[in-house]
Amino acid sequence: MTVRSRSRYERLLRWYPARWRRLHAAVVLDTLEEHAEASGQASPTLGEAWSLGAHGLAERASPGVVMVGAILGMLLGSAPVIVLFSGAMTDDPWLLGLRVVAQFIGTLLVSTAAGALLLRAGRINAEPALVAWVLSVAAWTMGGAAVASWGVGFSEADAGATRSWFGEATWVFAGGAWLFGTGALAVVAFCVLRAVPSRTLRAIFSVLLAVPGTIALGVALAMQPALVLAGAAVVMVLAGFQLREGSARAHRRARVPGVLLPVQRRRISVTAAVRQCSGLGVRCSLLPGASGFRASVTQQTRCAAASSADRWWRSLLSQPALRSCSAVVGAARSDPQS
Amino acid sequence: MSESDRRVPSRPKARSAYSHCGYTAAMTETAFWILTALAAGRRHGYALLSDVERLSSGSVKLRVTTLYASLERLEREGVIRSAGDAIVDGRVRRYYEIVDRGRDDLRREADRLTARATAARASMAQAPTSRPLPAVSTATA
Repeated sequence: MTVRSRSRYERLLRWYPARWRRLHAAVVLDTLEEHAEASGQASPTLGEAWSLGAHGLAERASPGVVMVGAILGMLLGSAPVIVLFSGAMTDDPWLLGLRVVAQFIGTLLVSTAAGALLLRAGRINAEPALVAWVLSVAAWTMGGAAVASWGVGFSEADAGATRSWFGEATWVFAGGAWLFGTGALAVVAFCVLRAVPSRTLRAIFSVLLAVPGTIALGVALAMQPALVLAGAAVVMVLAGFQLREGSARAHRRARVPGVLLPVQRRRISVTAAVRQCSGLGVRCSLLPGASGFRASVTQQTRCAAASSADRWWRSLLSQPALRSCSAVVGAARSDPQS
Repeated sequence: MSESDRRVPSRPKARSAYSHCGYTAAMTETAFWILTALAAGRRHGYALLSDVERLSSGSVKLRVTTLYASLERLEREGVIRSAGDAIVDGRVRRYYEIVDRGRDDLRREADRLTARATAARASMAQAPTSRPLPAVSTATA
């Protein structure tokens, strides 16, 4: 592999988050290099570039990001509900446009967060997930445009004015939303229905599910915008479970001898530094005694002072906050691999 | 000695990474082949790519990106673990190994597939041998 080709792979790896790159980039880059050499490739193929982009973006969809997306989606999705209950519903086209944009960006965020959950659970692969996401962006944009067009067309007809192209294009937008939405839903269904062994049968089932599913979803959301809030709540609960699992895993890792978390390493360093400083202090306090009262301060007295300092440290280390730290240090010391 | 005392204490059953609320989801094909390759011993990324292709008789060809995404997910689920990095011929290689939970999951999946294959063979064995159907005479009024 040439230097140019390696730098191309390196550039493509920038789709991944910086933390991931610090941990895995060297290993993945060398494996990509080995694979490219074995298959006689001079540079990354289009498929590889797409795959690296998709997996990089998927890696960014951590449970925390999903949670934030769902919360933002809930806030934006609640715009029409707030407008309805606050009595601020006006015929101003700008306000209507703003409400529709907020609502559909909220819906897009919630559906993206739901897709990210499926991705993290291994139900969808990153490449089809990216295809579904691109299609869903187009579908929600068209859906939002269809609702706005409906409102504008209605206002124009009510005022008896000439219908604009936007006001007349409601069904074109709705058709586009249905087409793109069917594509997105079919891709997701195809991945989720992997229990069906025949690919042809799976494709037929996916399309059969997606065609009415998209219409049902679009009509339900247009009629009842509060459904987005319910969807966001479900996504938040599931993302919360994933966050909790991640935290429990970190605690389990902490119990493995020889494996220290960054926070534990910091705690140990601080404790060790304080202990050293304090030990130095005890010795310094003994030195004047040794020089000024050399006759009276015996070796026995020094030993007693040192042992009292050690007792003080032991009592400090028995505090709940530091107990785990000392246990981890002990475990790390006793583990021959560490 | 009572019956319960004679019972051999069984090993606590490990919770499968694929069972949620009593429902056991089928293992993905990628996960199955990765665990199958790792069941033979620890492997690095590129060796896993070749092993998966060889073991599946060429029907599964993993991309490097898919392989590492799957390895990360399997590690997160606690069925495999990283077994250290090494530099071989100037290249960084990360080794992975299967853990007990992963071995249990793989055994369970293999049992499930065996049960399916046995049922299919038994069903095929019950089918009558192909013989020509007896001629049906039709009476006309």
